[in-house]
Amino acid sequence: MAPKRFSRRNFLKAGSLGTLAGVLAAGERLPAEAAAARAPFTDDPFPCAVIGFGEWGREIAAAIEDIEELHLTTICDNFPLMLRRAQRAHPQAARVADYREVLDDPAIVAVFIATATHEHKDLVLDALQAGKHVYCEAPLANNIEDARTIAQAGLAAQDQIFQAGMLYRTEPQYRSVYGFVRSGAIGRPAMTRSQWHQKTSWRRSSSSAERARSLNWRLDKDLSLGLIGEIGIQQIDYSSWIIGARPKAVTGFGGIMFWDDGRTVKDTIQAMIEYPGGENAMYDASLVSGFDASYDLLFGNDATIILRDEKAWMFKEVDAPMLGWEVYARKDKFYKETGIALLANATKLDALGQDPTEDDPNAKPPIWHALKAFADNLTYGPFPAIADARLGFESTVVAIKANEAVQEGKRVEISDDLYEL
Amino acid sequence: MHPVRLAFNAMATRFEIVILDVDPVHARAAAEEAKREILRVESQCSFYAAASELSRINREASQRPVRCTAGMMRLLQECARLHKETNRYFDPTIAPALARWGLRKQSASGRVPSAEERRTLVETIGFDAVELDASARTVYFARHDRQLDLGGIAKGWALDEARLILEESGIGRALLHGGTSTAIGMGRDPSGNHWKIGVEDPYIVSGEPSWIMGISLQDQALSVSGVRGKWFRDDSGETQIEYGHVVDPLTGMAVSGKRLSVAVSDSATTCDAWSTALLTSSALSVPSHIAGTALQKTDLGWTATIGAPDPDWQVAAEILPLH
Repeated sequence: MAPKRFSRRNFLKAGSLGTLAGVLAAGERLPAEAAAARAPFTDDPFPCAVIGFGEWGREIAAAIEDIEELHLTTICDNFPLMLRRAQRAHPQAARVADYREVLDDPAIVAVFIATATHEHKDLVLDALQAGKHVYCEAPLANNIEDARTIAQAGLAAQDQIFQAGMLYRTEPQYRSVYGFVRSGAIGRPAMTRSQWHQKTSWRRSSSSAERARSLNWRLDKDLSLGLIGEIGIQQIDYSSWIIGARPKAVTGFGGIMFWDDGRTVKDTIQAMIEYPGGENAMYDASLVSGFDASYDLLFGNDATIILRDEKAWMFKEVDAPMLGWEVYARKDKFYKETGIALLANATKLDALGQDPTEDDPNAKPPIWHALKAFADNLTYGPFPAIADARLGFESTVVAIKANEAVQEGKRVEISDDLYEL
Repeated sequence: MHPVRLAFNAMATRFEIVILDVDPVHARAAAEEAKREILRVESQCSFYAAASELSRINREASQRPVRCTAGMMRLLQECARLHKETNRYFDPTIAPALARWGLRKQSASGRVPSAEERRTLVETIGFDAVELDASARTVYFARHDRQLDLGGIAKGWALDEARLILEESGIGRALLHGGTSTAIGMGRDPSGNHWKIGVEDPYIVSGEPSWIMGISLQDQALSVSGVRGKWFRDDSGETQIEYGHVVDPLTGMAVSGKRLSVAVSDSATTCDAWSTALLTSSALSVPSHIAGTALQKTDLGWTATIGAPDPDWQVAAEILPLH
């Protein structure tokens, strides 16, 4: 990607208005859209809006309020009930039903899109066209054509940030483990296994039957990418990151095992994701059993790492080489195994006088870290987002093909040309 | 109309939501949304979770005004209102006293602080030193030794928030309870009557439950507080004394003896605060918008020490056991 021009960071580096005046005098023109999107060159927080105030939109709004660089000025949802909830949770924010009011507001610098997956495309394209920086939830779309259009628009918006909601790419513990694996700590990565279990109908309620149908797009196979696409996208992306490759095929299974309430997506699924190097990632998700909740396992010839609840432990093979620091590390017992606790930011916590082995009082959920990365980019960038349009697109392609495999109960190949933008 | 029942653990107890609706699929979805709301309140108000909003306030609010969420500000404003309404007998800064009594955790073994210790303890209690700025949405502790503990009110608050979610989902008939000590009845029960809750005698532990009273909730909430539940027995003196997990904020003394209090009102939050206050004080007058009583068990049975049980609170055959 070409360097982005006139960034706030570069402006701050230059350190004077005279520099900007000189640049302008040299004849380089600011595109109107970019000017609208640009930071106002102050330390004031960036005015921003959330579009879609469902469950995930509420998480995003709460995280925004906890980030000092962002100022939640507007919440948009076309469902009056959601706007009433917005009023209760964020009384200072304006509430609008039409997203065009957000895009037409020149004060709003950035938008966070948390609507149904199949509604993302028009919102992203219009927001970028209006000069806004855009955070778009993952998956980007429910079909490859729309996802490609979104990603191409995101990449083309040179002066604007486009960040896809790939949460683990910015989560400190997951990033720390990634570096750990890359340093060779588990030896040769052989396979991964992830699960997401929660006993819930996944259904949303509304006093209006018509509205309930709209709210429950996740349960409609024509609109939703199902459990593997809407939820599993995050864990499969992490697996791909760890293995260092894009999946080449997915074999899926699944069924409606319990919630036989008219839905057309499976409530329990399993999938095998194949990588070019011969590694496989196993994934399963269920709305029927909540047993053992959610975790990710990374298996190597020297050790296995488990990640759960933004914490990580390593289990070494008996014949694995000693790591110098491990004798000092905290060890936790798991049935007959002993796990070495892997702590992100341990040195920092120690320096702050906090016991790294205790619960981190400043712990934040993954969405907070994703939005903080976006806010930092607004403040010091724009530079290419860690979870940029290409990454969002490739992850969405995997989600779409994996869902196809699960829905049809077959093996689906993902050829390289599908990943092309 | 089939009942849909959802039970889950939160706030170190068992919550249950029972919904009556013609559409069980819709009812289940609404119950799950209500559950999520209760879990959200739990994570926000946890005294023990280091990363909760309440813990952050407790860590930082004695150093500077701490900005909080709109939800937390509404809850703390309710605390302020109820602190005043109960003549300070409901006080959410009671945490240091509970810790000194060894009553903070279920497994803790209690001890009776000396009179001198209690005098010192009282100095560390007082919601008056909690300054709320609603417009800036900040909390500030004017004294460095203040700690907020919302355990006395969080269940009621969570249930009130959950009721709102159910109402917004079009649910008109439901019973919600947290740990069987705080409950809300919405609309009518399966037989078409108001939801009727039984208050059990905690000192009769064998055989069939022994009901002290049965209370019909007419779109109302109920809270019961008692010495039994989280308590310890002091065997050091000539007579054994049972101390419960409620401490009088004005004297630093834990509630003792065979006592129970009941409060009924429109709001579970209000009920939680008032049932705590009624258990603590011996001289509170109950405002007209609350039906409340404090009871003591003697050799003659249960007698009212404050207020009087509502004449309608009678044991009836159709009582709904919550255990």
